[in-house]
Amino acid sequence: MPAEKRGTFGYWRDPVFLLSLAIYVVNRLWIKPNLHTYSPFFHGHLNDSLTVPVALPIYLLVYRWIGLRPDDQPPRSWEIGCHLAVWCVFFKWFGPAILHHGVADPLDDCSMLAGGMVAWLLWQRGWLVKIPQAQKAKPLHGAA
Amino acid sequence: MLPILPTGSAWMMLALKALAAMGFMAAANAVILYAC
Repeated sequence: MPAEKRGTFGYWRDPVFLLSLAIYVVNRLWIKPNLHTYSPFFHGHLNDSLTVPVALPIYLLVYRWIGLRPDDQPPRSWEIGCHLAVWCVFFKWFGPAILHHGVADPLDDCSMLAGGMVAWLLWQRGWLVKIPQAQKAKPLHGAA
Repeated sequence: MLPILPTGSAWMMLALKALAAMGFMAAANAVILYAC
């Protein structure tokens, strides 16, 4: 991807970010306080699956301000992968083992990975939709 | 030196930016760990 291509990713105005943030807020303020029994999904896995779509746009915005990110393209697969690797180590090993905060559950890593993959598909939907359209397009030889 | 490679000051600037990004990441990760 050429550095001069600016892109159109909205960071904090991105619809995937805003929708994920809304789900997180609803879960934290409304669903979790009203649950009378422990729910692994609402108390753990849902938050983990929202890590990439909620946190990554803010991280990338800061990198853009710093000057490390050359354009405003939607998050790339390697950007998501690098952050997932750091977060898995930090939240599931460093936090529980060193800081004694958080829980080391392999399912949480899977939730984070699944959320990251869904977010990547939604962020890349532009060219994912364009590929089938380009394959369907035929040259107009002989058109009147 | 190849013209595509950054000069000494450019390396220094890149290192400073990387350091700033890592500092931000450490702080933001700590906020997420304790607040979310």
